[in-house]
Amino acid sequence: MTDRDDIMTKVVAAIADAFLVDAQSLTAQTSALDVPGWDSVSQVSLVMRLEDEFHIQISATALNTIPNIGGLVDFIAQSTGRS
Amino acid sequence: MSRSVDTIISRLETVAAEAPEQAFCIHYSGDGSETISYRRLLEGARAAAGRFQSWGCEPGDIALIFLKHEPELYFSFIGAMLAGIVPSFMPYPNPKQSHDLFWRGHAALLERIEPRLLVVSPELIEQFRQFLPAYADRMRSAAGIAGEGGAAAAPVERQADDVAFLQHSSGTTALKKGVMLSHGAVLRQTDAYARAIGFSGADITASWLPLYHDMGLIACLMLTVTSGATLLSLDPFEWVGAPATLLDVIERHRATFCWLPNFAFNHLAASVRGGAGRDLSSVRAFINCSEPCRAESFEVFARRFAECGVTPEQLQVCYAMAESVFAVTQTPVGLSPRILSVDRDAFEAHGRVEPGEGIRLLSCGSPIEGIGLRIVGDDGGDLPPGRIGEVAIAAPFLFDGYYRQPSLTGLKLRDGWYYSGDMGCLVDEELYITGRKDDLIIAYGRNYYAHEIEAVASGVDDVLPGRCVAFAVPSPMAGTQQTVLMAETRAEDGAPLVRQLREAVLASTGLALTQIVLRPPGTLVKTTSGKISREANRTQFLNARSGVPAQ
Repeated sequence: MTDRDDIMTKVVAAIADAFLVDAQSLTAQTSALDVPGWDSVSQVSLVMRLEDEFHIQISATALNTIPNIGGLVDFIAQSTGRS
Repeated sequence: MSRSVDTIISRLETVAAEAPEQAFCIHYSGDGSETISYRRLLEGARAAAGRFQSWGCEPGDIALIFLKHEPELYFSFIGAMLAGIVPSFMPYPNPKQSHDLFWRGHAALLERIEPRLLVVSPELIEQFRQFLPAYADRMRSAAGIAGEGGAAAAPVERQADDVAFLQHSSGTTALKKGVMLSHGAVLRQTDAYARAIGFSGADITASWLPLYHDMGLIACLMLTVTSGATLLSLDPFEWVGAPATLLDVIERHRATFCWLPNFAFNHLAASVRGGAGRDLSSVRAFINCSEPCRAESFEVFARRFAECGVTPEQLQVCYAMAESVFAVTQTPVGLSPRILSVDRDAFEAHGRVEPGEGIRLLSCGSPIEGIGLRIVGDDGGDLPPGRIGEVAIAAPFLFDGYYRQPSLTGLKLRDGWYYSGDMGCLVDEELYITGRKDDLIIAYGRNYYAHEIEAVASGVDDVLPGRCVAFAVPSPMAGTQQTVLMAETRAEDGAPLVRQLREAVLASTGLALTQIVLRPPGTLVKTTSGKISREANRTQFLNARSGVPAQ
C-alpha cells in the first residue's frame, strides 16, 4: 500500500464515521455536497480527527479550497511530506 | 439639520463628540485586527454618505449591502442611514453556492425590492455583474467607500419614524421578507434591552454573528452604537472553522457580553481544544437566542468551560425576533435561568405544562419593558398560565411591516399585535417556547420554511413533481434541528440526485440538508385528503432511525 493509499483509507474511514455514511460510497471524486450532513459546522469534528491522526493543522481557509476527497488526500500528503 | 430628533445617527454623533477615541469596533480578519474608533466610524460613514449622494441616491432609496467581513460593512451601512438611504445587509455567495439557482433567486428578490444601489465587495463585483446583468449599472464596489477625496455629504433631515433600515429574513432568497424598522423603534428597543441586561458604554461584546442576521445586527452592532460600547467582530466563516477564536478575543479584551444561537454552545464545547488557563470570567452573560434553547446545551458548555471560570449564572436566554426589532423576553442576568420539568403526556396530548417527568423546558425569561405578551388559543382567546398557545406581542418598537408585502403584513400584524407563529406558555410570568404553529424549521439559528424547501426540491429533475417532503428532526449532539428531505423518484442511481438536491437547496436557501431519503413513486405517506403528510413521514423516518418496525 502506498502512502497515498494509506491516507485515502484513513480519510475515508474518518468521513464515514463523522457523517454516518457507507465508506464504500466514498471515492476520490466525492465532495462535501455529495455527503448529506457534511456542512461547515459538522466538518470541524472531521478536521479535528484528521489533525490528530496525521499530526498536521488544517485551516478552514485551506479546507474551503479543497474540491473533493482526492484533494483532501493530496493536501494531507503534502502537509505530511508523504506525496 | 434638526439636532433635537433622537435617531441612531444622532446617538452616534453624540458618542463621537464625547468620546471620539473610544473603540467602536475591533475588527478581526485572518490573522490581523483593526481598531475603529467612534471618530473614525463617523468620518468613514460621512465619506460613504457623500459617495451615495454622488451616485445619485436619494432619501428613501434602498441600498443592499453584499459585503464580506470587512470594515466597509459599518461605514456603508451607517453612511447610507446618514444620507437618509435605507440599507440592508445581505448574505453574499459562498464558494459552495456558485449555482444558477442562487442568482435566479437574487434576480427575483431584486425585481421585488427594486434597490437603487448594490454595494458589493471588490472581489465579488465581477461575479455580480456577470450573473445579475440587469442591475450592473446600479452596482458599486465598496473599495474606498469610506476614504478621503469624495464629495462632502449634504445634510439630510431625519425623523424618528423614518425607516432606518430593512432586516431581511433568512430562508429562500427570492421570498425573503424585508422587516422595516424605524429609528425610533430601534432606539426604543435598544434602550429597553440595555436596561434589561444592564448594558452600557463600558461594555464589550464579542461576536462572530453575521450582520444580515438580527442577532448580529441589533444585539451586537446597533446596541453597541447606540450605547457607545465596543464590538469585537469576527468573520462568521472563519469562526465556524476555528471556534476557539471567539474565546481568545473574549479573554484578550475582557469582553462582557456574547450572544450565541443554541448550536454554538455545543459547537464550542465539542470543537475547542484545550482551554485550561483561558479566563472567561469577564463575561456577564452568554446569551442564547434565535433558535430553540436547550438546557442540555448549557450544561455541556458549563461543564466544558468550568475550568475557564464559566458558571451557570453566566448562561442566559433571550427570546427575540426581527419584527420587534430584537428582544421580547430576557432571563435576569446574574441568575441561572429556570428549568421546568414537565409531564410529557399533558404537554403532548393536551397542550398543558404541568409538573412531571419527560420534558425539560428552559425559561426565556420575562418580557422586557414595554412588551405586551398574550398566549392565544385556536379560538383567538387568551389562554391562562400553563396552557400552550401562539405567542402574540405588542410593543412600542414593533416593525412597520414587511417591505412591499402588505398582505403578509396584514396577516401577521393585527390591531397592534404581532402574531409570531411561535407556540409557548407563561408560567410564573416567564415565557417558555415549545414549538411552532407553522412549518418553520430553525437550524443553526436561521429560519427556513419546509414548504419553500419542498418547492425547490420539487423543481429538481428526477424528483416527481410535488412528491417530496421536508421536516426537521432534533439533533441533541449538534444542539440544533437538522433538516431531512424525502423525495419520490424513478431514478435508479440516487447518488447524482442527492447531490443535485443538496446543491439546489443550498443555492436557493443557504441550508445544507442533513439527510436525503429517496423513495420509489407512491411510497411517501399521505393524509386522508391525499396530500403528503410532513408529520406522518417525519414519524416514519424517526421510527426507522430508532429501529421501530413500520405499522
